[in-house]
Amino acid sequence: MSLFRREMTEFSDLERELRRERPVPSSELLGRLKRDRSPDDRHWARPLRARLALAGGLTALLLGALAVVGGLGQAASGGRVALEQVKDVVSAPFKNPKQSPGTHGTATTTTGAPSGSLSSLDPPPGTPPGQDQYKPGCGRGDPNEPHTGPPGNHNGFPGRCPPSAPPPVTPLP
Amino acid sequence: MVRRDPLARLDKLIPALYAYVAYRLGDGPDADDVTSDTIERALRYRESYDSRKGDPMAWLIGIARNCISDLVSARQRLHDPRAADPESSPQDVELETGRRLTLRGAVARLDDRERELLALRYGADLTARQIGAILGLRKNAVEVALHRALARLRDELAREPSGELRPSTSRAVRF
Repeated sequence: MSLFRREMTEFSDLERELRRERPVPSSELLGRLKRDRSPDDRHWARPLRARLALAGGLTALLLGALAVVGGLGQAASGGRVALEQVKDVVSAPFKNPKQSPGTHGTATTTTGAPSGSLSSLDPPPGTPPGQDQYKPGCGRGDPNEPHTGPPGNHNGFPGRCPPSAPPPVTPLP
Repeated sequence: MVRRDPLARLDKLIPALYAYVAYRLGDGPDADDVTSDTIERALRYRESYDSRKGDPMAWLIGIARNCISDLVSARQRLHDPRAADPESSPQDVELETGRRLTLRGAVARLDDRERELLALRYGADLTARQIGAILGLRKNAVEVALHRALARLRDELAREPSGELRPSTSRAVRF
C-alpha cells in the first residue's frame, strides 16, 4: 500500500497540472445556462426556511381570524364538554357499589332536599342508577301514573320508587 | 419528506460538469452542447433526483455520460468521419487546429476509459469512491486504474518533442 502511495505521489505534479488546466466554460455559456433555468424553478429555488416561515405565517393568520370571531373559545369549550362527557361515560361503570351511602344521589343533594332524608333516598347498594331514576311513573310505563316530579318532590313516595310496588290500575277518563 | 433541489448550486456544478465533458470530448462546441443538453435534461428530470443514491454532481455526471453517448451514436448514424473512431476525435481536432501540445492534448490521446477516469477525477473532482459508484467499480480498482491512466498520460507527454507542459505551469512536469 505504501508503495502505491509513493507511486501516486510521483504523479502529484501531474495531478496538480490536470486540476490547473481544467477546462473552464465560457462566460457566455455560463450565463446562458443560468438564464435558461425553467420558470417553475421558483418553488425549487425558494429556501426551506422561507417556505416554513410562509406556512407559519399563514397558520398564525388563520388562528387570528378564528380568535376574532370567538372560534378559539368555542373550540375550547366544546373540547371541555366533550372531555366531561367522555369522563362520565368512562367513570360510571367503575363506581364502587360499596361506597359510603352519602356519595350516591348527587342530584338530590344539590336540589335542596332535607339533609336528614338523604340516607333514606339512597338506593339499595348494588342498584345501578339507571334502574330507578328518570322513569315516569316509577318505571311502570303508565302514562297516567303521576311522575315523581323533580328531585325532592316525591309525591307520596318515600324518596324512591318502591322496589316491588304493584302497578296501579287507573281508569282512563 | 423535504425534497432537495439537485441544481440549487448551479454556479458550482456547471464548471465541474463542463470540465468533465471537455476532458472527455475536448474543449469546444461539443463540450458546450453536451453541457447545455445535460443541464436541460437535469432541469426537466430533477423531480426524479434521489439524494440517497448520490450527490448532485454524480447525478449530473450520469446524465452527461448519456448525453455523450447520444452524441457519439448520432455521429455514427450520420457517418460523421469523426465518429468512426470516437476515441480519436479530440485528437483529430487537436491535429486539425494545429494547436501545440498541451496537457489537454495528451489527455485527448488517451483511450476512452482512461480519459473517462481522468475526467471524473480531475474534471468533475469526484473522489475514488464516487467514481466507483458511477462506474460500478470498487474504490481500490478505481485508484489502480487512475494510477495507470496517469502513467499513460505521462508517457504521452514524454513522446512529444517539446517534452514539457505549457509555460503557464509554475512547476513543469519533468520526464
